[in-house]
Amino acid sequence: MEIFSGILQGFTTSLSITNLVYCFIGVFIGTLIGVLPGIGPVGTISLLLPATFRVEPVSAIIMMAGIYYGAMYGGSTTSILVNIPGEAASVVTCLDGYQMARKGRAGAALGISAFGSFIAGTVGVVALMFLAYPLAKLALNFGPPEYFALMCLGLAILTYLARGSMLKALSMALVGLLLSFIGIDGITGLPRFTMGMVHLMDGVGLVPIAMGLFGISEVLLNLEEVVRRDVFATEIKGLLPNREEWRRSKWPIVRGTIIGFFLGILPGGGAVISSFISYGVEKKLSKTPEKFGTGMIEGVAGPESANNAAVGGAFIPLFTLGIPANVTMAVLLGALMIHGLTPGPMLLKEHPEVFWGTVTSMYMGNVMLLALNLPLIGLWVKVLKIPYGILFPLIILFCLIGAYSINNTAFDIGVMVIFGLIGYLMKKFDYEGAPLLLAFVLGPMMEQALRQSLLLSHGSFAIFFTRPISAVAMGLAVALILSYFLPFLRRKRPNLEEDSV
Amino acid sequence: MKTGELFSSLLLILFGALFCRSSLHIGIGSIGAPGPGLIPFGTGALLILFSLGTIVEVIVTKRAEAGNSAVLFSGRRWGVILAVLASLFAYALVLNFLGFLLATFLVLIILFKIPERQSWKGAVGMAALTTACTYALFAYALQSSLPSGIFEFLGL
Amino acid sequence: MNAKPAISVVVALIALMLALTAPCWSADAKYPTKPIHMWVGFAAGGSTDICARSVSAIAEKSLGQPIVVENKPGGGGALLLGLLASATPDGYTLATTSDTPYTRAPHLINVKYNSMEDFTPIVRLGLQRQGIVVRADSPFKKWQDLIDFARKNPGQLTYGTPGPGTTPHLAMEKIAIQEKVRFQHIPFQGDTPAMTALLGGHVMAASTGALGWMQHVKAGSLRLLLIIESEGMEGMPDVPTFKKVGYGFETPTAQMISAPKRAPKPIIDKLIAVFSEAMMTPQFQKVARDQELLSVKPLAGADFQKWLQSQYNMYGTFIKEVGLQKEAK
Repeated sequence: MEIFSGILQGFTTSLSITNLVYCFIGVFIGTLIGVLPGIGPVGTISLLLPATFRVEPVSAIIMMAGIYYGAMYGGSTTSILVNIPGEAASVVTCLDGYQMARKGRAGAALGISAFGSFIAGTVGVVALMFLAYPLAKLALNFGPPEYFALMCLGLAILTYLARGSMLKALSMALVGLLLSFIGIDGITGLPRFTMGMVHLMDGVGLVPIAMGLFGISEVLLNLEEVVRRDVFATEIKGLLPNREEWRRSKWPIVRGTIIGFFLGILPGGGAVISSFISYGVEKKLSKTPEKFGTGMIEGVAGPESANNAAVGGAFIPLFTLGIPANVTMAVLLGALMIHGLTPGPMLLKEHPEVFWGTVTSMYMGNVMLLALNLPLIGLWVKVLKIPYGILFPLIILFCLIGAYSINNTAFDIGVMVIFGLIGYLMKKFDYEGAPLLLAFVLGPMMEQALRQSLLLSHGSFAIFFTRPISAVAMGLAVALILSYFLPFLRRKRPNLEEDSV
Repeated sequence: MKTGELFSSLLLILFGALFCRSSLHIGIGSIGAPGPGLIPFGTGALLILFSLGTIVEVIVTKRAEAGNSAVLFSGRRWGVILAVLASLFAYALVLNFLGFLLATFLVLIILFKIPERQSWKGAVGMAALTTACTYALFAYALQSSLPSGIFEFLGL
Repeated sequence: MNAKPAISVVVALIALMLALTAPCWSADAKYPTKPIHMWVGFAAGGSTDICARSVSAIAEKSLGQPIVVENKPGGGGALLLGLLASATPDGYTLATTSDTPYTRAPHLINVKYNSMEDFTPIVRLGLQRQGIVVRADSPFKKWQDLIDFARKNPGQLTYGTPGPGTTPHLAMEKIAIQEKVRFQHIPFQGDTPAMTALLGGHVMAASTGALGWMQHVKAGSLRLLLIIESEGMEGMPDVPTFKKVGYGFETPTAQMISAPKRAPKPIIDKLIAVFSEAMMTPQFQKVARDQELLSVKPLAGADFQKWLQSQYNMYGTFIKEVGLQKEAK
């Protein structure tokens, strides 16, 4: 019953005119920065922080939360339109979303990601209200061995995502891991593999790599043709998903929502891991897995729902334990503290209006986002009609500013250009970018978790199999890799025989 | 064609080997007390292993469909690709000196001009317009700090 | 495209540029005439960031120019100081960091600057409170219980810290030497992950800044065993301090503002005055209390430089003692 009085109190707070306005400002800015490069929710929230000093704390938090989930809506737009993932959580959206755009279904891809986000976001909020406290306790059971096992499962799914040779996909994942080790070692504090460069002390940036591997390399591929007017199908058929596409997206949205919400609770890359686990699940369940990567709407609907459901999940450890699940949540934690609120076990007791007000405002925010994003689809689709000779310098400029403004350094632009070239060559040699990028995101956490686990167990690998959660995750990972290997070996043998004949 | 496959695998082996060597240098420690180099070393070693595997796979299965680099590279507009890459590199190098406005204006002229044989006037005009619009958006509306370079004295 | 619109666009652009910059032409010696950049050596939302933002928000009012806060995290602040060393010393670029990259990083890693030569310290904002905590259901009721356990089970007591070479870690290393026991150090990245692992029972104890554990101690889910300094804590008179249990050392961490070396003296003096004043406002004092800062009184100029130097020397010997010093290259 306490929950219901809380919800009631929450709606009284969040439905006031002032708070509705702040909520709208938040989701509006969020959508904008989700689309713009380089400026992510982290930068924006810290930028707007001083401006909120004079505002009621709950209004400020409602607005900043709006920026966060608004950016998740907007983040997929560039993935679909120009193959540039706005953030790590929309990397997988590139795989099928961009192909859909090239086939003239950009509107459908954007539409399904908006609806999927809306459904997942709303369900995430409901779940947040009812499950916050029990789930927060559960999340604490994840120690270093559990994280390592979970990320092994993630990598196993990664290799499963591969379209071509599994060995090549694994190689790319390993390259991603190695790249992620560049910089200060989180455990000893010693710089590694920096080749003496100060800029590499902090590691290679995710945004320059993502923009280079996906965006710049795609532009280069399109430019190498002598006259290439057909980058995007000129005729754009319908702005919204049709009935058939809806039917195919229904279950991916449901599954993506569930996966996203539960993985979002975990500190670290909840939204990222959930997006590609969702992709892997959809591919596994599909009757035509080989078509993934050629513009399958399931490959957009699932991951996009997952990363938005993860938003609801990410608020749980913040509000209940004072533990930020990702960098944006860390900034939000800072924002709460500037307003004199300490998130954590005491928040609900001392400031129930903040907790319930913010959570209930997210319903309104999701409705506003849907209303805001659907009309925009028509506009975005028109972007693709710009002649490529004019569009591509704009895409490149977009990447240049994005890479620069992450750390305000031209070094990152250089990194982006190098990865543009690498990505271009990778496409020539039939290597995929997605395993590299996702392994790059997981790398540091994975290494830390492994090293912490080994320190805890005094060097015994048994620690991964004696604890129930990690044992299950490890078992699944092994099963998945075996399920890949067995048909792989079977398939190869007849090939060999054919060759010898 | 196998040469491309072999070449890319050898590059990856080299990449892995570099990390392995550097890992040994910074200290591997032991399994019970992992040093900073332990996991990079293992990762690098696995990369070498898998790349060798790719080579074996290519040779044994005589896979012909992938990595047909001769065809992939011939008849393409190499000049354009190189010019775009070079101009972007140059942009990174001169950005801090020339400042955002001038560097962006220049690089955009090249990008508008080279691949599509745009007229000079058109390219300059569009470059100026695009630079002005992005500057207004990022520097004023979004308060990003873009480098002012030699225009520092203007207080931009 | 036609030539005329293109040219008129360029002309309009130039006109716009001139119009926007007009106020700056008459720049005289009156500092500051343009926005000041405040670099923060740590990520947004952290303690250093919050201190920097709140003190800047107050100081910009008396300076009459906005202070733009930019986060440049990396290498525990070492990356930022490397950049600051080569920044223009005109008073328009300042930095807020902890004293880590000044007093400890140079002993632990190869840094790209000389921390005692390349900078002008402006003001010390305060010292970070630190302590050692266990879960409320832990069998360790008091500090001595933990030491007894460690003595009986060498290497079995696992504890988390915000990272290697951080002051809470250095403190534990030195305790281990003094008590002749062996702990198993599990490093995390920051107070929060270390606290998460402790709450989940994955480590037995944690030695971190107060910001990580304070709310959990207040909520009763964690127990504070020892405060890592000689000053006790308000409201918790029973918790022993280092002095009380007989450890004759301290490992303070400070939050501080600095500028590149060779910035003009009048500008430095003005900045010291403005930031010292900002620190004493009730707004900043409240933020400092929320951030668990101690000694929130301005320490500036020569006194501050002297304090930094003494810390630098102290940590030099300290780090050598606990065997964490960097390898000679």
